[in-house]
Amino acid sequence: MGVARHQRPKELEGTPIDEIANRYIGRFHEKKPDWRPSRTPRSKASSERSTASSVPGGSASTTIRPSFPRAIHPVDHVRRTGAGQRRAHPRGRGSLLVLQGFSTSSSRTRAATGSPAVSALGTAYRARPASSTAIRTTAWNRCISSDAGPRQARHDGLRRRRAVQPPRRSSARGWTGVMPGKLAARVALVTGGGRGIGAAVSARLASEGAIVVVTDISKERAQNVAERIAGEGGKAYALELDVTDQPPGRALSSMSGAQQTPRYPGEQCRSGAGEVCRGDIPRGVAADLARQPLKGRFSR
Amino acid sequence: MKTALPLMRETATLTPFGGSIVNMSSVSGMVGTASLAAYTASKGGLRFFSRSIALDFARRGYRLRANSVHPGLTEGESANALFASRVRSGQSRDLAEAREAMIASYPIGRMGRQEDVANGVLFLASDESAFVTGTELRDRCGRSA
Repeated sequence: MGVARHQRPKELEGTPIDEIANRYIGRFHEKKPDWRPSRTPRSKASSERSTASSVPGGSASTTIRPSFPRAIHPVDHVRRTGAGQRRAHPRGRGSLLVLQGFSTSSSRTRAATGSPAVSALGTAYRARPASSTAIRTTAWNRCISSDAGPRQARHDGLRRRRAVQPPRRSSARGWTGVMPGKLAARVALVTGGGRGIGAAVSARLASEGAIVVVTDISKERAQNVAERIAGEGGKAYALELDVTDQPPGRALSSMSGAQQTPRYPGEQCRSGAGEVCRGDIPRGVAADLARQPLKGRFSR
Repeated sequence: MKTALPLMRETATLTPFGGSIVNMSSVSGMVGTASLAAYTASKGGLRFFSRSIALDFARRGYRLRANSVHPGLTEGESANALFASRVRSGQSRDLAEAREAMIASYPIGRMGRQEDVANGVLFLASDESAFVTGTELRDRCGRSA
């Protein structure tokens, strides 16, 4: 876990910027992220997963990870290399974090139930313009046109074995597949998402296609919000999380493992509203979270 | 933040625009607020924490942005608690009056809705703000204009 991994390698110092981009693009295709399990038969892989407990960064010195040199503006990067069509996905999987800080609410108000925010969620969703099929289709096409083929799946960190499938339509709930939007197929962690501003933020991010991890000190509140979001066709997990808890990653570590595999970015979880679709969160992520001690130095 | 950082550092390398951290601060993180000293201290701390890590990330080459959001009076339980405290301290006779008094200081003439704040967060979280880091979004309804 060194800093050097995230900086431009020494060997690239002074290289013309196009050259750097091309070399990175090349690497991007050849190598896969090291937390991705190697290609093994399904039955065998499942038994290995529990024991492997992938250590991200363990083999970092030898594995070339997909990374973009930060000196290149992403838009330039896409334009110069023609990456937008076949290769780098400008809306690839990344992560977002919304931190709410501490609340001033007393224990009395904390205990209060029936938060108005939860009912406000419905409004937030209904307030969205009833987007026409054309818009949806365009957005979806943008997703798949730059995200086609199994090689891309590796970049995105999705353990996907089939080609991209179009979203299905269910008459009751609208699209059940990915919700195209500004945050399509990206993961957002919202602390204090059980009510109030946090709940509204969770809903809004989900409405733009983000996979939202709604965390709250109250499991029930988080669950309510996640179910509401899932009911509206969004994608959300509920997790109980006290940000002052020790160890803090315990709740989040329940996301590890990869029993379910989404076949395209943001595939709807079928097992029920608000339930964790494990394939979404990269393995090793949770292990990382669980390892971080809350107390002590803020180390970067 | 500390807990999620290693993860975000990794995943940010998978996307050209990187990741984004949005810290919820408050108007009280910018100006002092009577009777809310502890709250103001924590929100003010968060404001500059956010700026500092933004610089840190940029310098270290992490592909992460950090910004803070400073909503003014927003509908919800915090606001209700604030009104109640005004009544308790005798500044206002009842909740409705407390509400009026507090809204009066906002030129736009209403409280913020939670959706208003959420839209600001969405902007900072999305790639539309890819060039925005270490800044503050003041949802103050014209109060500081």
